[in-house]
Amino acid sequence: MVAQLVRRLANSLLLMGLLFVFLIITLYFVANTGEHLDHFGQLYQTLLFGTVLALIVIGMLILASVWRLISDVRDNVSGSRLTLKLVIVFVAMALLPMALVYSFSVRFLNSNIESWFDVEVERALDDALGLSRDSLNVYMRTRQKTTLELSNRLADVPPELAVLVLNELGSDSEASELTLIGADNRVIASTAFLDNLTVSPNRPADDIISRARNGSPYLSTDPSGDGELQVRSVVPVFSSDPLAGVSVLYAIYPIASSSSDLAANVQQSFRNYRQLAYLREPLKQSSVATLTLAMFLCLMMAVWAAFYAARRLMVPVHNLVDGTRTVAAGDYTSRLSSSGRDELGDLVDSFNAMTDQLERARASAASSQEQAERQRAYLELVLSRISSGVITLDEQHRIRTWNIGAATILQSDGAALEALDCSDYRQLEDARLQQFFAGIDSLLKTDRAEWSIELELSGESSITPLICRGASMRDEQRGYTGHVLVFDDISDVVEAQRNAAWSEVARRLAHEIKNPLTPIQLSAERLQRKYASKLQGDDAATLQKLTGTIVTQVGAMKSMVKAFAEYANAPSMEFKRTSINELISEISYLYLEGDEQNCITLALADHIPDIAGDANRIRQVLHNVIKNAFEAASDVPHESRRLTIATSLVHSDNGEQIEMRFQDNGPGFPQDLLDRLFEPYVTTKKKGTGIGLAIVKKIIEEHGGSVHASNPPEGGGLVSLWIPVLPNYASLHGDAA
Amino acid sequence: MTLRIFSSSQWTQNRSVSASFVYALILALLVASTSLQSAVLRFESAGTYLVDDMYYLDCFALIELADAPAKALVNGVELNFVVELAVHRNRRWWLDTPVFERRIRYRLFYYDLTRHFRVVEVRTGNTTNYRSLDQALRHLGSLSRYPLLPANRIKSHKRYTASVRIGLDRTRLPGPLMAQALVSRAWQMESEVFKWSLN
Repeated sequence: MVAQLVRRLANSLLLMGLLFVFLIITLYFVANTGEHLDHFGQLYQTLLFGTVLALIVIGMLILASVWRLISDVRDNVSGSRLTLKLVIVFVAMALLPMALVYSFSVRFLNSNIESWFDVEVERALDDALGLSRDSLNVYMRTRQKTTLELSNRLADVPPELAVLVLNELGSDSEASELTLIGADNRVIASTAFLDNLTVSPNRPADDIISRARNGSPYLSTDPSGDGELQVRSVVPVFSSDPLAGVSVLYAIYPIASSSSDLAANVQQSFRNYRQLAYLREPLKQSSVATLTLAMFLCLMMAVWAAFYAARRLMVPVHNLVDGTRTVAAGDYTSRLSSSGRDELGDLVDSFNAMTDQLERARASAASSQEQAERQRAYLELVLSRISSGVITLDEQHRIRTWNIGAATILQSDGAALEALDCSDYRQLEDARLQQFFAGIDSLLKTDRAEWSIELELSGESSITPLICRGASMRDEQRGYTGHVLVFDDISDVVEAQRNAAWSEVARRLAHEIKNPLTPIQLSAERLQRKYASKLQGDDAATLQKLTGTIVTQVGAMKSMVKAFAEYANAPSMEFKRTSINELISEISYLYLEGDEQNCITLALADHIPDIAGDANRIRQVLHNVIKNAFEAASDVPHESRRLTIATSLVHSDNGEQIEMRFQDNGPGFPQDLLDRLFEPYVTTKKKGTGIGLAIVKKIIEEHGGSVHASNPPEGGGLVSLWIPVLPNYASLHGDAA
Repeated sequence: MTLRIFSSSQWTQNRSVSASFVYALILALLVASTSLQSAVLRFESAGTYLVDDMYYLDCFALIELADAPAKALVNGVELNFVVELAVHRNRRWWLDTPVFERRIRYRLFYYDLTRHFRVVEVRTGNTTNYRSLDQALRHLGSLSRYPLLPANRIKSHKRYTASVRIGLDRTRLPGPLMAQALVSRAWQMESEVFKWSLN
């Protein structure tokens, strides 16, 4: 607080200007009011202390500035060293001429003052004063004689006649006043001439009268009150009568005005010169001191002005330094205030213009960057929304970018793909990644601009077919810059192709095999009817057995052909609102009798929504799955067979779905058939056609659902079916309620 | 500016106060060397008495000049003395209020032609010549039967205090001496205030 106040005072042009003006005016006033010293003398002490106070204040403020500057230099404050240099230069520039003028002035003053005093002049004045005194002495002696003569004539004059005689004598003499003082020390008579009669006549001092009575006359020349000189003479008046005592005559004689004026002039000149000579040394000292003070004052002004000027000069530099730091910190909004029309002002203007340009450039760059960022984000969004996997590789075959589709298809998390080195695929832990990059490694090393390859990534329970297309990226400056890989999971395509092939096989089988079966059956039956009665014994039994076998096998083949026909020629679907729980309850009811009675356990979830489906086809699905489960568990005793049917509502990426789980306690599915379990003609049963589960899958997929078979850890086999619920389930559910 | 003043032979009228102004600053640092002999200035007796409804004053001051003022006097420097007379009415709970105040100014200088010391009362112009400095100083510090104030200005039930003080008026010294007089004890010529009860 105090330091800030001192700093503000030291930097205050108004305050310091007032102080300096005060000191200068004081000096000027002191120097030019010598003629009015009577008035000035009253203010002398006040001015003196005021000046000392002002000097102390200025000195302290300057010291504070010096201390601050030193602190700034120590703290490496920007511009402080330049300020220090400027101050030193300014002070040196002021000090040198001041010292020169000061030394010459002191020398000139001393010699000049000494030159005023001349021995001849002094002697002449002494002589003039001595001459005046001698002249006065001659005049005094003459008047002394006159007074003595008058005293002799007054010797025996009776007191009553003294006044008359005194008037008579006075008129004859040049005395201006005669006073006769008796032996009793009383004035006997007094006369005054020349119009200067006083009511109470002057009388000499008692000691003078006493000494005159004792024979020592008094004679002197005194200046009167109005400055005129006069001779005073006191002489005794002896009487012939020894008993009468001694009277005293006191006479005053004026000196002529011309003589008196001349003497006064001599006196005044002598006195002035004497005073001047007496004050010579103090005068020299004080003159030198005056000069010293003036120089000191000038020095202080110079120092302060140096500080002030340096600071004013350094303000734009300070601002520039601060502005540069601000710009370096990334803030382009600050603008420096203009510091005038000099070169520094031009520099500040240039700095502001530069900052403007920088800000515009940064804004433009930011805008471009933002636009690029938006485009990149848009591209990323597009890439993330496409199902194809996209991976870009740099020239070292390290992954630069990848999209979600790539991670999904490769069944890998993003972290594994980040900056992955494809050429070093042998070190990868993920088998699918290893297979993928091993498949394309040789192609990456070729110079082909574009290529395409089909891959199969085998996992623990599935094989994922991929088609991968690659293109090398090149630019004019750097040449080869990497590859872009686009790959798709073609499982659905392969599946569709496979299904179409199987459908075609089934249709042809049904068509080609079904036609000869009936004649074969009829022929076998005709053989039995025609020749059974004609044969005897073992022959008849053999015929019976053979034709029976033919008929039976033909029947079996008809069933198989029928199943194939059903698979190939699925009737058109009639989608209606269907309750899965109701269908499951209905189908399971059919199994309450027979070998599988009490084997089915239902765990149906309450309030699951309906689906849009064909109830008959769904019944076929349920029947096939249940039948398949019991057939798979055919080795398990009837009483121990268990089939748990559970339904639930699940949420997946494809929306809400009804999940149906059929879990038996059989031996489970063979591990090697898990991937192809739902393909046609894949069966583990001796009498199975391998069509049942294929039909299940087909019907479920026609409902937009999916199937999955697995062997749960607790044993048995598990078939899971998912069918999506109605899109407008809520309204349907509300209607149902 | 200083040169202009010094170039005049009548420099005493055009006194260089600026020189003394700075001289004070330097001498302030050298106070110890400036005082060789102290002046004596004190009132030895003073009193008032009532005659014909008028209070009169008698006082006697002992004045001895130090070497420096005495030497300056005989070298043409004029000394101005001021005698301050005052009568205050005493107040118990407040500052005393002045009833009468007067300043009597004297000029003392040496008249080389007749070797007299002259004492001039400035207001009246009364001039007295003395052969010796002691006589002049004795006269300067003495007042005999000086009419102070009429009795009707004094209330009998109030208490009054008279006071007298004498001092050298240093502000009227020549410029070069003024600064010296401000700091030198030889020129510190101011008596204590001599007080006594008026009634």
